[in-house]
Amino acid sequence: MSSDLFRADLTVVNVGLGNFADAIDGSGGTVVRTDWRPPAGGDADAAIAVAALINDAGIDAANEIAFAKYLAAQPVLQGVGRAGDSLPGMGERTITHSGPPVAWDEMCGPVKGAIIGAILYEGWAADEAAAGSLADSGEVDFAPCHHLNAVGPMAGIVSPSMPVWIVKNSDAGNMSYCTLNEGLGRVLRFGAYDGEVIERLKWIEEVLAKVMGAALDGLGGIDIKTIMAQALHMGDEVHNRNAAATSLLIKALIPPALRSGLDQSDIAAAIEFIAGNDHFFLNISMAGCKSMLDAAHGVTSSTMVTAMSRNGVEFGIRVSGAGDRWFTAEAPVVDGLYFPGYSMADAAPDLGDSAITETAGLGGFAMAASPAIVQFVGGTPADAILRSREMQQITLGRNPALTLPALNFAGTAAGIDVRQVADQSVLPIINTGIAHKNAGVGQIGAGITHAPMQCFAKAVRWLANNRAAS
Amino acid sequence: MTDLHKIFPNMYRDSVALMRLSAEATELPGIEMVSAIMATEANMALLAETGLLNGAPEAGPNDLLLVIQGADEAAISAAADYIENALNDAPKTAGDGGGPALPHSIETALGLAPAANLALISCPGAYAGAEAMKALRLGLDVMLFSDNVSLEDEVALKTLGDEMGRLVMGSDCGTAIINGVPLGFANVVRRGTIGLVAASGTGLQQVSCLIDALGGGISQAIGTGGRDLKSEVGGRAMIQGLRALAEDPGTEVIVLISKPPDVDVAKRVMELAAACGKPVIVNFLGGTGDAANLEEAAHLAVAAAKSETADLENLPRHSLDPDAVAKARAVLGAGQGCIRALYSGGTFAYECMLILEPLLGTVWSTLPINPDGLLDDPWQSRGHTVIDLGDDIFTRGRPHPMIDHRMRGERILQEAADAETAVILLDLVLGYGSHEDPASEMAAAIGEARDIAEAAGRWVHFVGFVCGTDNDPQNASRQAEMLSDAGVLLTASNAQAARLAADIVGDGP
Amino acid sequence: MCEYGPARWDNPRRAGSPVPGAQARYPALSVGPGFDATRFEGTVHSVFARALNIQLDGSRLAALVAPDLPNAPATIRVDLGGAPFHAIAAPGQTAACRAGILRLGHAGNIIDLRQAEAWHPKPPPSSVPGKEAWQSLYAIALSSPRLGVLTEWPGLKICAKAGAFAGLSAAELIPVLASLVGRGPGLTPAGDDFIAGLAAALHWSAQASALARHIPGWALRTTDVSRWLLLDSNSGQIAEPVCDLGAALYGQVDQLPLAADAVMKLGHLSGLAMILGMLAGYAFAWTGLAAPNDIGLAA
Repeated sequence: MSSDLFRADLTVVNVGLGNFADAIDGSGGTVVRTDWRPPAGGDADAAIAVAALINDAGIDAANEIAFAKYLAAQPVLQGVGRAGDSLPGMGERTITHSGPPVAWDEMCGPVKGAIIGAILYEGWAADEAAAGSLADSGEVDFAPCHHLNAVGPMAGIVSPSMPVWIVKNSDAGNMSYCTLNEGLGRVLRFGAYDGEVIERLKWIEEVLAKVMGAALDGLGGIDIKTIMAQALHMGDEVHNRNAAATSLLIKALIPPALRSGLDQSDIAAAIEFIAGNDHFFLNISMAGCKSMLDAAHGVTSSTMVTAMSRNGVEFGIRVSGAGDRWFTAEAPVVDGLYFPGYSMADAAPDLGDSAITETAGLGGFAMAASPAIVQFVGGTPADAILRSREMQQITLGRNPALTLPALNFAGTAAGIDVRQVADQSVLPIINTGIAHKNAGVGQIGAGITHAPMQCFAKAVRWLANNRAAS
Repeated sequence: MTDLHKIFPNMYRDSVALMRLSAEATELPGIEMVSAIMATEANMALLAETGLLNGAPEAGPNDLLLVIQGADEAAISAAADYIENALNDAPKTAGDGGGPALPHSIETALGLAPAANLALISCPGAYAGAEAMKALRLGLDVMLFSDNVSLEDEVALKTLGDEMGRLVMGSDCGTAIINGVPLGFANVVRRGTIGLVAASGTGLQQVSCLIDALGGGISQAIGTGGRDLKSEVGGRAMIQGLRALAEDPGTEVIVLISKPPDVDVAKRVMELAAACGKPVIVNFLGGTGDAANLEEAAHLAVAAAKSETADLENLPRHSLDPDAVAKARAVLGAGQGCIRALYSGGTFAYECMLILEPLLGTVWSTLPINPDGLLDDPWQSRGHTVIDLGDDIFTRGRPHPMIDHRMRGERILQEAADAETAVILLDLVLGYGSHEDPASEMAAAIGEARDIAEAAGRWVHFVGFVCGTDNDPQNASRQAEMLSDAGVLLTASNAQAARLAADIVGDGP
Repeated sequence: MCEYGPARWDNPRRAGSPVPGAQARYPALSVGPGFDATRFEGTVHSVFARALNIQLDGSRLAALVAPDLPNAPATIRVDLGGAPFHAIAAPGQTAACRAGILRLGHAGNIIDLRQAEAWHPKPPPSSVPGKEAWQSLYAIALSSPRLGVLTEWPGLKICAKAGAFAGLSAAELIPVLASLVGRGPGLTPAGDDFIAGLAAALHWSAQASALARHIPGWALRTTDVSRWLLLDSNSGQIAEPVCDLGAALYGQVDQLPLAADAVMKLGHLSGLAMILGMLAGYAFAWTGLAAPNDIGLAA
């Protein structure tokens, strides 16, 4: 009964005009000031939707279940397989791409270039022009990697003959996949498709994949979270900085590779390749994160984000309780640090499935672990700590298996709650590389970007409208 | 004359802070006009009307748009710097920096202060309903200061409030005093045993100040918002407030204040009042009830609290004896016969019309009691005119007259220049939220007005009253003194002021 | 495979919290009827390994207890997953409940009361209990190894003489009980526990009026925790095992040892004292329960 208000000490939460808080202070009352701004980027309908979802026991119970499944996940790198044989539902003329669904004629430069490269690699067409016509013809099925349990960095193109890492969540049994990282410079994932690129893809298929597969067979699998956890203590955030994780990986793989009985020069070439690519672990990191989040997906009423992804045209998120829906918005062009000679005018809009790392509490969320990356994307180590703390405000919890030394070994904030993003207007932060908008030029910069508010506004509106009566 | 447009993306500041900043920046050398607004549709439309908007800037409702018009580049640049510094100066952390960042939502605020029990919501109306709903779902009582909340939303909020057993004060609730803490526009009044439930902010302010002046005190003053007693809302907040005060051991007498409610709502409220077990003084202005006006309500309440009966018959008519009134009439010219009442509180305007109409005939207004008295042009008085300058018609894009007196000052000069004007009637509302020294502002305008009238060979009377207490930040006695020195004929209440004005322009005692 | 160390600073039970930035959230299992479980505020009063007390503003103490402890009028049972209660709160912290969410401290832990079962004491029948049952329970109590500790405490000797209360008038009862208030060892002095058991039995026998005027005064003369024990017992609000034991007096005699055992677990001497008090209360309220030579103070 509201008369209990009269018996208690009055403590006012002030939302709006600051001078009201001053008046309460000045007259000896207690006031909690807020730094309020219109929720969901000023979307009044989304604000009402958030209000309907706040303090709901059913939603909180669902989130508890989803988050627990994410925490319990144990992604294990089991081996390497052929994409066409491993990805469920991958036909022999299927090519998957990063981000939410997008039609061929709307795709951005790097993605189109990568698709052409894949077609040439597969031998479905003889030259660039023929490949382009084939892609345009409708005879190739395009689908988001996410729909086939996979993820891919940048253009994220996967075609049937490509080798993929095979990851199994030993807790819930779900599988996830990712291609092997090609390295830096002129590579397929930035849209390059010349002879060198295709040759390298062949070598990866014929040599690297075999060596990796044999090494993993010898080991019986590698626990991905273990490597991530150690890497976080060694300066990595396992999205844009993977040097320590790659070193740990190679350390584990060399002995079984050497004992595998394969050709020594192949083994040497494979090891050299990995040693020269500090981002080699990224693809494994992404598959591991997807594994953890897929386990949390599909819990009715849960408001936990299970994917954040971009295709160079749109940015999309998926939510555990919203089934297969994508909630999309225009992909932003990143205002970051550009390599000499390049600027924002040259940049492709945000691209890649690698934001799955942030969705799992790594990458930008674990920035406090990686002062080096902060410098690269523009900021100070103190900024990095602030960012990681800020993410605590919009997440369901912290992952005690993945701890950040700079935050006194607190678990990294994980499990983005769409309600909190919309209510507080605090956006999930993403560390990202920036691609040139033309196919094949490569990376031209890096920076910090945020998931667009519109995705979360759409998500809360859908969730409120579809809230099952409890 | 040159312009500058600048957009600050994703920067939010509240409307009062922005108006203050704009006003300060306009005073800078070489600056003609400054407008700093959140680029909502409504604000952009207003800006377009001023002719300051060049094209369609790419700014959305969460972006801050700054427009400066000045004499030259240098002046504008200086002004832009000044504003940018002020914008970036806003406190982002609790307790002067170094503390944890300020929470961005009611839920996070509750995490930092678990014992919080009331949300005071004054954000823009488009979002205010949602914030109030969040507060209720989180278990807080709500004071919803914001207006422009839809009637449906208000009903939904009060229905939820009833379910949760929580109070929803509003929407458009400007005033409350809970546990002795002034909320919104409220006065510092003595704590005591009289509880108020009011659908009018200024009505609540006047009754609480008069009770204080009569030696009584306020236990709780609950605002219900202006629409509470319409049939759609059903008086839910007044009923909740009445019940809460009936249960509150600190309250012995209850006063209900409103304009006349919907008939069924009034019936329900009166039934509950009769059954609640404590004396209830009903003041439905112009309708049924125990008190005919706010002043009577205060007297009845104070008497009831002392278990006495109020002597309403012998309340003073106003502050002048008949000789003084006659002298006042004598200095007026032949054509001067009209009252121009310029109020900052809507309830005062209403109460004034209730008193003047029977005495003087048609009273013109933007919200007249007599539909024949609707002003064609709100900005032009005729005959006896009583207006509430706080009404939306007058305040679009400008601060409320309780905060900023420039608009009323201009109208005062306009009335003084009008040959028909005999009496200009003013209210001066003090308390938290109001201007820090309204009497000085009014005195300046009054002085100028007298000069205008004198130049035309006329004397204009100023009649007024101060709604406030000595413990208010402005100090009522000192404010009254300043008005008195400016030659204003002061009374103790609005009802008295209306009667005094009527007597001065009337034909005889 | 490599091993990683256990999380050092975080509570592993860090699952879906409804309040962003908070430490951890624990769902409550059940809540007693002694206060409004949707809204209250107060301060953490005292913290133990398996329980903590909250001093509600202007009101009573409420307790958070481990799930194996019994339901009681102002108790919230909550499972901390094995963590001690020191891990979730400290004395002096704010404790406030809003819309069923109890927040401990600032940006601290949360107890979710929204779906907790609402427990109410189930009163035994209001007729006379079985004589054989009453005698049997008396014998169980008198054979307790802790009886000596109880009765050797100054002023508490009468507690062992439940049968003696059968012969007392209402006027004689009051001074006897008054002499027990605040006496004895324990967080709730054993004398108060005896009175509580007695008061509950009287309430269930529809004879609470004998004590009603006096208990509020007695309640002021003892510890914070005990005060509410006495006040609650006056209206039959008492811990679940005590209610169950009362009910057992109307059932099969062979159920009594188990039921009595459950009550004995309530603190070192508290349970025993409550049982003796209950027996004394029933003896006072009804004739024919006590053996003839037990009756009367002289015995």
